Amino acid sequence: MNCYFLMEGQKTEKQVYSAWMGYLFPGIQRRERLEDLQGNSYFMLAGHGYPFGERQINQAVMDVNRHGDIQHFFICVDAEDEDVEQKRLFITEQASRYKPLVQPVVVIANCCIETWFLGNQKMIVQDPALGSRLGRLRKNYDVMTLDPELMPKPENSLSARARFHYWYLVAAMKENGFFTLKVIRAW
Amino acid sequence: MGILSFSYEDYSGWKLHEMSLGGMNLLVGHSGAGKTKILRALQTICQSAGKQPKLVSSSWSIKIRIDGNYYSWNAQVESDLGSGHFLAETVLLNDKELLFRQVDGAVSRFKGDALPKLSNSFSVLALLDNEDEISPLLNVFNGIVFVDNFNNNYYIDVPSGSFSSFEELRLTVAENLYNRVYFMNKYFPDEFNLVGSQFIEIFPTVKSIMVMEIFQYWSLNIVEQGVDNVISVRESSSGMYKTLMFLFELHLVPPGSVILLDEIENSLGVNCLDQVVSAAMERAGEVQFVLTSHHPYVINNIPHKYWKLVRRHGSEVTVVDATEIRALNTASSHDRFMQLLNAPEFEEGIS
Repeated sequence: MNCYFLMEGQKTEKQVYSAWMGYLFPGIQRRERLEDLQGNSYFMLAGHGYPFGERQINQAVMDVNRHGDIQHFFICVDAEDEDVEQKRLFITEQASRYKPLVQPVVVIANCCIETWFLGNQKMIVQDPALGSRLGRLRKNYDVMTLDPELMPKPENSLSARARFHYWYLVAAMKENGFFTLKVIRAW
Repeated sequence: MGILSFSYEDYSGWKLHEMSLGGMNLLVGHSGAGKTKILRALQTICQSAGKQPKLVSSSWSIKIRIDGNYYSWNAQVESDLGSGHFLAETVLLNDKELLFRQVDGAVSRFKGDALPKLSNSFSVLALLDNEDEISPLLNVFNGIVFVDNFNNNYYIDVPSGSFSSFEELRLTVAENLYNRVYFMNKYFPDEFNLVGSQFIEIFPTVKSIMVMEIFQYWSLNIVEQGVDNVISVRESSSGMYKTLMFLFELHLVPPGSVILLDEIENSLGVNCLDQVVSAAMERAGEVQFVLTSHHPYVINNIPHKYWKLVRRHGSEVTVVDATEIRALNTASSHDRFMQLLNAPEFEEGIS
């Protein structure tokens, strides 16, 4: 089985999907190049936050068609502030224009991959410290009891909803004593 | 003629392992990896070589090819507040010792013969520049142009000088760019107008570029359609200003020069980035370029064989040719820039 992943996101998505692939298909190998895909392997390419759209989807379809031995083709994007099903339809239509020999599976994080992490209740401290950022955030919207995918951004906030979800996750990780490099830089 | 390779270490322990250079070099890599410091290291070497040196504690080895001859200049400099001196220097010509000096041991040799004691405040290149084997080497360092943000005043003192040929003007590469632009307009208006038409191609609303003199001052101005007054280039947008000055710089450098330019995309919109990169590519070959960029447009438009990936581990910096990055040697249809971002060597970045 060979799989091809095109991702809108950055390093996080590649790391997370790679870990999942290892759990789901023990023994599967990640390959560095398209032409190295053979046997039981997968290839990933991420947009790293640079403009992502039809051009990259077209190029991915060309890759999949040219290779000829790819069984699963995934396009992984964030819904951000868009409707999930509309986004799925939009991406599918974009891909169809280039006649993929393998129909892509469009995976949409609603609203971003950090939202998924907020759904992991083991990540969230039950009783955050008094006055902590996580405590304040949970008072406004508690991801332990409410669906993170439905969490709006604070009123009057000018930043994107996905950004707010990211900061919520950072607060949760900080409360848990986790500091990823990305988090430290962001703080 | 050109720099083939160099290595460098500064007083803080920042160390660049030997990196090779070709005619066109686009340094890519994470912010903080050391791209700008590489340009500054070259600038420091260049400033140490000349007759008005600025010396800072550092050591380097630089290899240069001049007309089929291979030079290697190795030096060690020590400095404290405001003053510096050379501790040791060697110059090899085609792998044989040409010059050697060890300041502490007071030993100096040129072509095997002992030399009298030399000032350690100057490089041997500056001290012995009348020697036939040395002067071409010093000329290389005089021809390294570090393109900065072209700051200058609205009105500039009119310089004095005359030139019998454009090539002669080009050879004054160490001079202030504005003075050279002034002389270009005065003595070689056809060359000046060539740059003007290049600029108008990029900014079609511009009608002409003109020099105005008022008493002992002069200014460089733009005449634009729909704009009543002539405006000084210093009052124009930073993108227009940078584009124009870069085009002048490109036109004025003589063959054999080295242009260092950090983040070529700064201030440049998509309406001019393409032409500025193309103008640089057109002179690549006779002029050596060392550029840095983070911009997908710039990176995608310079063939990946010219990319050099800069990585840093602690204070040690290594540079690898993109042609040696396996993930880039692929038939994938994706843009090279995207392939670069996904290459394990790029992701490693800083550790």
